[in-house]
Amino acid sequence: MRQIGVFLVLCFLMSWATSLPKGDALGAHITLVAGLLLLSGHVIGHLMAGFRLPRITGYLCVGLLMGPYILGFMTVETVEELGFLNELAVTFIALAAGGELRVAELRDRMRTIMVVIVSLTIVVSGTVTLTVVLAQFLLPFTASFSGIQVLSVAVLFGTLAVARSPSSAIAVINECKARGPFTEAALGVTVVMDVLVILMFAAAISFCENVMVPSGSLDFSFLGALGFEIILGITAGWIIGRGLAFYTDRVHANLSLLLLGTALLVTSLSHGLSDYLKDTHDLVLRLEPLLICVTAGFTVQNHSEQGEKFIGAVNAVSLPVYVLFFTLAGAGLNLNALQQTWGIALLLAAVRATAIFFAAYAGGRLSGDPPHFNRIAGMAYLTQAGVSLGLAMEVVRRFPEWGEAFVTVVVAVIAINQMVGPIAMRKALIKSGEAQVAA
Amino acid sequence: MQILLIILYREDLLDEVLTALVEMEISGAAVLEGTSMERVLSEDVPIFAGLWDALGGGGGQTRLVVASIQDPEIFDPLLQVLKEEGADFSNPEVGKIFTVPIDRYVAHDSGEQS
Amino acid sequence: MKLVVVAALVAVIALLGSRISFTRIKLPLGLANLHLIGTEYVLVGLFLGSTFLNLLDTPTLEALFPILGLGLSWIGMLFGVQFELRRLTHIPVTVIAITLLQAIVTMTAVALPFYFLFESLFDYQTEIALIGALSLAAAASDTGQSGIALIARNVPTRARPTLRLLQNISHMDGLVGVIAFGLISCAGSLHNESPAYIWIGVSLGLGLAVGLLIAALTATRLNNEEMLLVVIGGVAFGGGLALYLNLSPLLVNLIAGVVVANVGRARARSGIREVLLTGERSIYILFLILVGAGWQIGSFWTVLFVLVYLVSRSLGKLLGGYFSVSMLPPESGFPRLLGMGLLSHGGIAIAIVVNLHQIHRSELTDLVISIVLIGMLASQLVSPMLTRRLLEGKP
Repeated sequence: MRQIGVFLVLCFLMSWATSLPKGDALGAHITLVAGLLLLSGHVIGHLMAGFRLPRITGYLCVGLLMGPYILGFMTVETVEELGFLNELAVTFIALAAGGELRVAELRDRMRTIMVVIVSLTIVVSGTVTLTVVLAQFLLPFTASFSGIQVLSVAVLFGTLAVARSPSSAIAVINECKARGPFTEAALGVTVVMDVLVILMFAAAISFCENVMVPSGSLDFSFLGALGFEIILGITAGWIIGRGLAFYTDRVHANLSLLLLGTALLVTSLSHGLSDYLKDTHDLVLRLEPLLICVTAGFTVQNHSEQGEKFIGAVNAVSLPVYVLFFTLAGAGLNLNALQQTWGIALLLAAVRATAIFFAAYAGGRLSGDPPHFNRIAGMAYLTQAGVSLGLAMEVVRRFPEWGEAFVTVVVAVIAINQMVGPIAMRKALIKSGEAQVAA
Repeated sequence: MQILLIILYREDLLDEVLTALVEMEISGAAVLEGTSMERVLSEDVPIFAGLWDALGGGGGQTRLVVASIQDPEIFDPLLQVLKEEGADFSNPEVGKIFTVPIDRYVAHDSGEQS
Repeated sequence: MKLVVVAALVAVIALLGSRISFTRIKLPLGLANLHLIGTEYVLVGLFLGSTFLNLLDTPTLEALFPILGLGLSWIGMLFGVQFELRRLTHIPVTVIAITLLQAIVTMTAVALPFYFLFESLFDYQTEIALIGALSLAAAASDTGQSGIALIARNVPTRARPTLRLLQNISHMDGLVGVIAFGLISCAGSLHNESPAYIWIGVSLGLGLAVGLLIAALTATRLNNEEMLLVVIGGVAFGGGLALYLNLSPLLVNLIAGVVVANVGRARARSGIREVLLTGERSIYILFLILVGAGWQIGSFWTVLFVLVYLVSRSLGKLLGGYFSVSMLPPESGFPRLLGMGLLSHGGIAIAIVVNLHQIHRSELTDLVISIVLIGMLASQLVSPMLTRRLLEGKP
């Protein structure tokens, strides 16, 4: 009751303050909104936990409620202004993800992880691609496309369907304090797939470009550049990881803040370098901050003695980061898009979910996992979030004529998966017996 | 009989420590307020929060819990219970815990000296 | 991109700096005091700012305003949460009276000349001149703790009661400045000419509401991560509300902090305190860097104003100290020139002028900031020596 009262008071104060004329202080709105999201997120997260739902569902709901489509405490512009927090959160969570991957534990699960990855990639992307081809009539923007063009768009959908959300996965795992073979496999698959999806997507979008531009021919040189980017990213991540390990070992102060600063710097320097190379040397080279941070976290955990201290420092400040990230994600959920495209979005979400269940089951079966793991494995892979959206925005940039319509569908599918995914994952972790929370 | 001494740096864990003692049927403990050595020797100057230190409510306060235990075997189970309550003394930031053997004491049950 | 890189750079400096600064080092007293209050960070900021490297240029600084706002809010709550009435009753009433009296006398001594200067020399509107003068006065009333702390270890035993008095005053007189500035921020000209008493009520109400919210949220047992979340959220929400309405986040969060200190559970208070203290240094350094970066040093006339400021402030402290001690019985043993030990400037002074800049950007505000910064540097050079002379009985 108290929590609900607090939430109502927060909403009342916010509503009252924003109804008054705004003062001259720059950036006041950002500070205010950040405070509102943190406090409301905490309250509603607790409430969700009371209903045996994951807290991040609460955070998403708060964002949705406070966002431009319902209460309107945050406009679309405010959500954009707070975009830097999103980037910071994604890379920070990537640090956490890398740090949670312990080689010793993964080694035993490597076979399962590899088989499930292959299975998920083939089955999910194939099924969704096929569905889009067959249900083309539900996508008006493809009406004038040729067969091969429809296929290329379908491949894009299929590729994005494979992506999931390491941030949601880690948030739910941390909340449930889950540890064990099922958890390790789920985490390993999710993190590796995130990197794999970037590769797949680069290939898919190049294919699409070549098909959409009639004069173009299939050009595979981008694969070389991609390979180079990956090696560069991993190297950068390894160096940063060694640096972090050194700092953790020698200096004992403010490690958490340093990690936040590192995440921030990696994001900005990666983008900055890419922009600089493009503008001054006409060179297209993307350093992927996600890959760098996952590698850095992995290096600290597995190539130094500072792994547990590192994880401790990450966890010490992760909660405010998660709350802001997921509330902003909720605020960014485009309800208009969902309203317009709910038919195809529901279909794609359902097909994706079915394909995931089947692929996870088959993958687990093939690698000899216990049957009760295989039955619930699919539930751990339904989450989908930011990376997919980031990649989808690339489509808008490259194909402005139909990109927006594409993104609208993708956003709607992500919205559904983002709400359903964490709930399913929590249930899976509890059923696996590895979660330390009450069912 | 032995003296059980707990130097608790994390005074927010005091309730947990006392709960653990009660669970292990250790009663009659005394709780003293103290200041950590670090604080006394501190070269640090507060910027905005000097009043706390002046009023004795500042950080760096320690609590000393003194109790007597009959059976030294109780030490390990006590550590386990403390850990379950959230006061894990293997973490140096929480504090220190040890026992000291006693030569002579007055047994309260019978009033005899030992 | 530049914004983020620079922000990260500044954050790293603040991070590492919090490890090495605000400690005693072996230097002549005045210079050691400058180090103690983090003067080097003002200079780092100046170096990074538009005067030299221009890394922290005006657009970047404006984009970092939310951080300044959060910092002000943090300081306000940190300061306020110390005022636990139960513990305050241990402080003798005379000490509290002396604290208030010397602060008020100082404020008067500074406000009067500057009001006339701003109104006649610069031709500012009466109310704007008043706001500028009173803000300066509020900043002037705060006594820093560093100068006293620097010589505290080497004080003769007979002077220890005086030392304790000076320390208590320096811990508390910031309250007067914050409240005074908070009231100034309610002035009609900052709120479309609506009556000040409404905004005073709003400040009070907001502070009360945010304090009760935090107390309610921390009433249940929270782990460390949740405590961090609630504290950051509460600080940002309270400060954000204040800034949004052009009020003082220092005052609103001070009130919230006082409420939390007196209403919240003991365990919760302890947890909140730990979180707030953790950020104290890093935030202050960040502040100093950003203030230094935005510092418009001004013309030669600024030096003249600084002289007026130093003279009037010193006069105020000396007179305030004199009057206070005169009202005590002779056996109290406190020196009449008590004010000599109160010349050090505190962090609250910086916070007040930054707050002014947030809610009212103008040439006058830039001048006020310049006066306080230079005045602060100058007074930090001499205050430890004067304090030592006072305590050794050689005024």
